[in-house]
Amino acid sequence: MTTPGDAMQDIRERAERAVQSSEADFVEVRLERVLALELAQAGRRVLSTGPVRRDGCTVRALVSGNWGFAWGSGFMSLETLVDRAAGAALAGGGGGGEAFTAPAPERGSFSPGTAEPFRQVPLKDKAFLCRHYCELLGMTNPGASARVDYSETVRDRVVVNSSGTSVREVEELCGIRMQAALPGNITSSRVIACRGGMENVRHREDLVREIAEDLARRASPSGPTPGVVPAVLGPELTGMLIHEAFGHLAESDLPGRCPALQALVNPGRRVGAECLNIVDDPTHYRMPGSCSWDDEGTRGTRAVLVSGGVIKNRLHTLSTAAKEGVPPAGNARAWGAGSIPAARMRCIILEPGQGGRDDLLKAMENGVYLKGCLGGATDMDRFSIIAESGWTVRRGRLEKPLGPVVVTVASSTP
Amino acid sequence: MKAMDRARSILDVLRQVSTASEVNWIHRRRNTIMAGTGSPVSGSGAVASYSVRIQRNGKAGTSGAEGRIRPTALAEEAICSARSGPDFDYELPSDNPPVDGFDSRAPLPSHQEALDFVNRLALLAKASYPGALLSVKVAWGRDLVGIVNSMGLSGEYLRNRVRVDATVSAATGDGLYRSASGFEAAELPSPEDALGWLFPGLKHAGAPPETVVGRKTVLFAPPALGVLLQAVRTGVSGRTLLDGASPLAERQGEKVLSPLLTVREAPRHGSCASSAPFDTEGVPTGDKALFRKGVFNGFIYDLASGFQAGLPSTGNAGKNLGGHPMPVCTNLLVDPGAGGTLEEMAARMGSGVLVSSILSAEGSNAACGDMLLDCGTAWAVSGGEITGRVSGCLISGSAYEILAGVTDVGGFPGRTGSDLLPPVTSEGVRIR
Repeated sequence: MTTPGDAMQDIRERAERAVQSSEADFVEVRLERVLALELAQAGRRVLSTGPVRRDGCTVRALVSGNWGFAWGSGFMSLETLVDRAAGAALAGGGGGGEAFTAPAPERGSFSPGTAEPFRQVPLKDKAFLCRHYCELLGMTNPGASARVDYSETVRDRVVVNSSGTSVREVEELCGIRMQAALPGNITSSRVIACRGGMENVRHREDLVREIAEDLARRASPSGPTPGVVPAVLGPELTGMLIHEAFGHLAESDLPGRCPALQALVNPGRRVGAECLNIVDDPTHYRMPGSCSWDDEGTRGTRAVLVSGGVIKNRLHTLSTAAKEGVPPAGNARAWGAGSIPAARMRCIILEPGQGGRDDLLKAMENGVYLKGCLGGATDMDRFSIIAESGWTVRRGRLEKPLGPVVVTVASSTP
Repeated sequence: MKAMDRARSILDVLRQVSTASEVNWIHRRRNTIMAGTGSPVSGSGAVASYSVRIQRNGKAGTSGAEGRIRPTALAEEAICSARSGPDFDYELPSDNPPVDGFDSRAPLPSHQEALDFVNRLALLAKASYPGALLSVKVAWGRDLVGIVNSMGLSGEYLRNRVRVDATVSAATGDGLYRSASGFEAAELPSPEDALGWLFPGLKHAGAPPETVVGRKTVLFAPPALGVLLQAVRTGVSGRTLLDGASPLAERQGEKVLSPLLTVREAPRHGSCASSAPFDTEGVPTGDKALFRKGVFNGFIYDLASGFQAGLPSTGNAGKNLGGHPMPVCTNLLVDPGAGGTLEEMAARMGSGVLVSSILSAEGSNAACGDMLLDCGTAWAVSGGEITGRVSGCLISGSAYEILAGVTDVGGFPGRTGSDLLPPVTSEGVRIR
């Protein structure tokens, strides 16, 4: 894959000139150059997507209290898109009056270095790494089907607006997923996803060993008896719980935010015990959601969402922050060209309490211990998370292995 | 430069470094309206993307780009990809595929028509359940899709696409009702039809909570049936068969589903969004019954999986930008039955559960058909009437067994994704 040159700097300067010459009340230009690669080794079969290169430009304009936007692939038509966005705001049929406070200008560039940049590693070496892990999974788990997925993305992003903001950030994301499945839908997997280079995915034979140990323990799992039971959750599942049960609800521009939904996450509402402290901190630059500036050019800063079990803040874009009269913390996130930034989680952190897993199991006495995460979903009214495996717990000790377990809870339940 | 000319210039470069090569392109133009609590936001955009595939030293290499297209960069990246790519030991087609029926420009909705649709949809939602708040995004436009390859094949067609995504939420006596849904079609439907497809059961949002467990008769509304049919989409793939993962292996000609079910793969259906005259490898598509009256008719193949199985491609190749082709279904259709409307089916069911949407199927294994469905919105039915809202309803079991247990098929299909499906009733479904 070729390295993106500093053509982005020239385009950034063009964007700065374009926003300053626009007559709209506010204009924002987002330029993105994305280079992505996916590789997979499934048994003996090699699958791959790419390399893929995506250049995109998205422009948003505010005219007389109405927003309009325009986007295109490539950067050739940047100036035309600025005019089209302003035109869409005028012709869109809105009634005006959208709350918006022009942000304080930010300027800068950020491109954290990595120990082993993946763009300098030949593709065949990455394919070899996938094959290596896949063969190890096959050898250590006789009778299992093995699959290893590798993915990398470079996102070179510029945000320029008519308030004087001009920021550029390069994100290099790299990840690997290893999975082995025994007949009977007994699977075990491990995932690494980091902001960084190949150093994060090399020499991870320890994960192969963990998968083998996990599958050996779970050779004949049983399903849990359905019902309401106390549970201790492993870290991956706790992350998914916070993400689905609280994180999405805290996104201030959630579609269809009716007053009843709003009431679930109003600051001051108690959502948990005193020991519950949740923060969103995009300054953890090794984590995939981190950012120096978000997709609206707002600086990423640490925000306390829950303190002592009580809601303190929600996640905001510039628009929702203006509506509620609070400062934004860098949570605006767009899904590529053609999408408007929305308030999204960055790096959600549940602050550690006291004691380890065994202390929690002892305190619980009887129930279940659930670990690994197959996924989660929420419709805001309620949510579900799926544990990869678990154990029944009796008198504070792990007893019988369990297969996948679905946990569903109403979001209004603290 | 026209898309076909640009693709030929890329092909000229690829020819110099490969034994065989092909270039695909999609030019998408879209207009959008987003409306919710504030003023509607309008937008428009265009994206041009090109994918290439080469045969080099018996291996397949791919690459892709959106935006600035540099033929030499695409070729270099495809060469790198071919060094670790899958085997490429089959021939690309050489006959130009027919594009009849896909060469006309049917009119697209105007901005005002789309805005009227959004406003009317919001009013209908409020009329259906007082206080219901709707957020809608409508995206509409035209795709120009094409292919050229080194065997001399070329083809290009146009298709219209309209996508509607909506979220509804409302306060209820016991808390909150919220649901999200979407569909795609070739034209903008009436707001009345759209609301029925998106949120069947919305008017019952305030029903009291109920708990249901055990083996029950379940009425699957189209969005829920669409999720069940994910198992069929994966199971009928020739690639899944060759990987040894399809539960349909060696069952061709057998009755697998209920005799009331005829499931069609319909890439030439005029009103569906994923219709195409040829697939991503340039092979002509054709409508086919995957299951006729419950009997499994056969697998779908692309060139690679067909070659491996000793069969021709069925014109079902699909791929992502820069990816390798895979056998895929386009628009799935289930033939309507004699069941009438959703309400008539609920009345005939007597007691059971109506599932109108699926929140999560992430614990499922679509390849083997084992489903674990967390139903987003489900309703208890008693005496043929909806009597309560079921929260936390989990359906588990084989998708094929659930579809084999179908005893009633509705007469009015609804859109979900790019599929056109009627509601179906299945007996003995395990709920926990």
